[in-house]
Amino acid sequence: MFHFSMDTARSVGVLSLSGDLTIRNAAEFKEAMANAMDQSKQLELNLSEVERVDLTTIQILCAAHRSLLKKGKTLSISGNLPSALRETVQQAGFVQCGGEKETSGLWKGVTN
Amino acid sequence: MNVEIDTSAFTEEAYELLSELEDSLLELEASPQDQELISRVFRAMHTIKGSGAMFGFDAVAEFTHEVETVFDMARNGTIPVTKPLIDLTLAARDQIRAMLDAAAGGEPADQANANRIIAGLRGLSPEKKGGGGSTAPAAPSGKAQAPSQAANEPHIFRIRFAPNPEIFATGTNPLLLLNELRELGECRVVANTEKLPDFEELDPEQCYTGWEIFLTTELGENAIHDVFIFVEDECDINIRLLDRDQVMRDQETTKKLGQILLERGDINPNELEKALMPLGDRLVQAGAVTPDKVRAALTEQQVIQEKQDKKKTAETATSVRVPSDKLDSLVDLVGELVTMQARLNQTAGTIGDHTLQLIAEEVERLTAELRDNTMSIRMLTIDTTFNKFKRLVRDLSTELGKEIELITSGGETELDKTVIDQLNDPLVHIIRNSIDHGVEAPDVRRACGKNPVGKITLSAIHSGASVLIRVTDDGAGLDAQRLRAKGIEKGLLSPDEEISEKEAFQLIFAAGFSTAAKITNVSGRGVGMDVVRRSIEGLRGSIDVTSTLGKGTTITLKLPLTLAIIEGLLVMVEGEYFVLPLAAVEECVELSRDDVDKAHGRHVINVRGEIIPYIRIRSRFEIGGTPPDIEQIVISEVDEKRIGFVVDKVVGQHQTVIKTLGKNFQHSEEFSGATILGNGGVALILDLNKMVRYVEEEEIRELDSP
Repeated sequence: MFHFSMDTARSVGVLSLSGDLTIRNAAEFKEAMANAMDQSKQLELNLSEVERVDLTTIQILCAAHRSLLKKGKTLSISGNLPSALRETVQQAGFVQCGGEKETSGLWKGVTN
Repeated sequence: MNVEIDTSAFTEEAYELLSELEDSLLELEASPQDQELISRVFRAMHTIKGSGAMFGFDAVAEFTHEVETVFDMARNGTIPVTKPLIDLTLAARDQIRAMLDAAAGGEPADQANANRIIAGLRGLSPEKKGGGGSTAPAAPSGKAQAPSQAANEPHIFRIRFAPNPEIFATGTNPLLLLNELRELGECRVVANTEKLPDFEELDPEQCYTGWEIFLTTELGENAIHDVFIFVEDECDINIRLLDRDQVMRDQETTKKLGQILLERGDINPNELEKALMPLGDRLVQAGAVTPDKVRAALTEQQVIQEKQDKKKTAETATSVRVPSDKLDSLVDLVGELVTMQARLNQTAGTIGDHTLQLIAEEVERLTAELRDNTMSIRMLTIDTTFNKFKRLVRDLSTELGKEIELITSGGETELDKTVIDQLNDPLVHIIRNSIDHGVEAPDVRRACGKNPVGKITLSAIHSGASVLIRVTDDGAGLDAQRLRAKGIEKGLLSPDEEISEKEAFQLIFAAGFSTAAKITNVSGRGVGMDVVRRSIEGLRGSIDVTSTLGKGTTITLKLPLTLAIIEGLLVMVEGEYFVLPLAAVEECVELSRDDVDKAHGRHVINVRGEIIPYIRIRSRFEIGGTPPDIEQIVISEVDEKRIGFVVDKVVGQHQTVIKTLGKNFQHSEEFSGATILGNGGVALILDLNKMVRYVEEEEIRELDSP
């Protein structure tokens, strides 16, 4: 469900996520994120295999994004956003979250 | 008296809504998933119900309510949009129409039919349990509350919603609540993540997010409270109506961002002073507000702005409903004015006073502008007529077990209202014919290697002073041999008579002619095409048919843009004036006594090698007198043949305001009307098509009885 690997060539940590990332496994998700964040300066998330998400998922991603920025690290999303995630971001009104200035917007790809 | 006027306003609106409803339903049938279309159907029903109840059409309101209820379920996804649902809703739409007609003094609507439809619709809905949650439709007595809802203007509400951190533990998903809000109207949701802690302190199973929701809805505050009814104790909810109408009226401009933040109490005036432009960023930097707050305020500004924009466009795009007889009398008056202006021109010319001539010219210019403007008011696009046929094609093809697709183009083409009104029946006939005789059944088509789905194309284009309307099908086409055999059988042709393919096609317009082997209730009773032809000619138009066997048939209607004023050619015979429609005139040539002698008593003339028959207006109308030595022939195109009309003198072009002939003269079909000339005299307008046909018929009769 959570698979972390280092792309040494680019010195980027890649965390691949799949399946359900709902409140049921929010704690594990947070832990996986925390590990990945510790190990990499640049963290890339691959969410294309994610099936179900909810508000907790977005909260974790947002908080992670902000913390990394504070530490001068980066968080980015590679690959396509699965539609479930896209919809949830829209529904939860996080589309503009992080806006232009603050965090360079984690959800830039999602439009209203 | 007042009541009369009011209900007519309602019925007119309702008729419009019904035709919109029909369009939406047909579109919905093509794309049953389209939420926007479902909502449109629902809104139309809702408005009819609401204003129906308001104007005392209780039966209509009650009936519509039933339909609305079912469509509400479709809107909520409780039941799918299926063909039975569309069929029933279309039937319901017809029933509402019948009820409105009945209220307007028509035949009483069939109550049994209404009950059938309601029963059918109720059959579609699943057991009325709480499946849909708070969206479950109201009980049938809901009609009393409907008008007030429909009459409400949409309001913008700001909802601040901050759930308790532990809300997930109770099994509540705040996102679902947001979705419920979205169903109430147009909704903007901005998340407030101020409370979101650093990643390390984050408890993944707590809710840190709050929201500001801007909801534009026609419903009241209670509807919003209902959404939160089960979570009210666990959440912080603050609902505020943002735009009361007075507020909207008092302030022309949208609130400034700073003002909004101030009013909301997010900042105090000093902080606002400190941070000038660019406001949002400075405020954030100054730590006065968080980015989330600015974002929420910006969204608020945007939502209000959008609503005002919408209001403005609605205001600028208003139109005035005018009864068409008022328009008719305006056109009449403009016609009189055009006539008077011609007279003024003439008089000014005779008197020869320069100042008077200048004034006359100015009046001429103004009159021309006035005329064009008035005519353009009467012009309507033809797409409403076209849209009606979508339904016709759908119903008929289903009835006949055929699959037919109707394609329309040129719906934006404008035509005089009178023409459009009278075009409906002929087009219905033609399209019915295409469906019934033209397009084959799917298996026949498959056997011929055609696409089993037939295609009927309905198009309109401008062509000079006329509009061409074409009905094309890709069906079996006309069989000239069969037409000929049928013509002989019906006694329209003698057995040894050879006719061209084109002439054979013309037979379909003969009275009592039908090639359909069996009579269906759709067409084939032999009363179709001759009636069509007559009504098209009544509109001073013409009808033409081309066809390729096995490929399809095209029927082309050529119609004048307007019926009220035409460009004419004024001619004179022995002091009598006549007008020929200029659109048909091709050229004028002289006819000398020499030419007449050369033709040896036959009425033909050689024009640049082409032999052209002519009709003498003098003898045709038994005017008498002696023709001048050199007469004029006006050569015109009639039914794609060139035919001359012999007159004494061609006066010139004439703006012809058409006046219908009085009752006593209506039988004289060779005239399509009369016009008043500048000098106050009267000129008759010739109907060239009919004149030629009469002359032909008479000659044939003379030949038959030697």
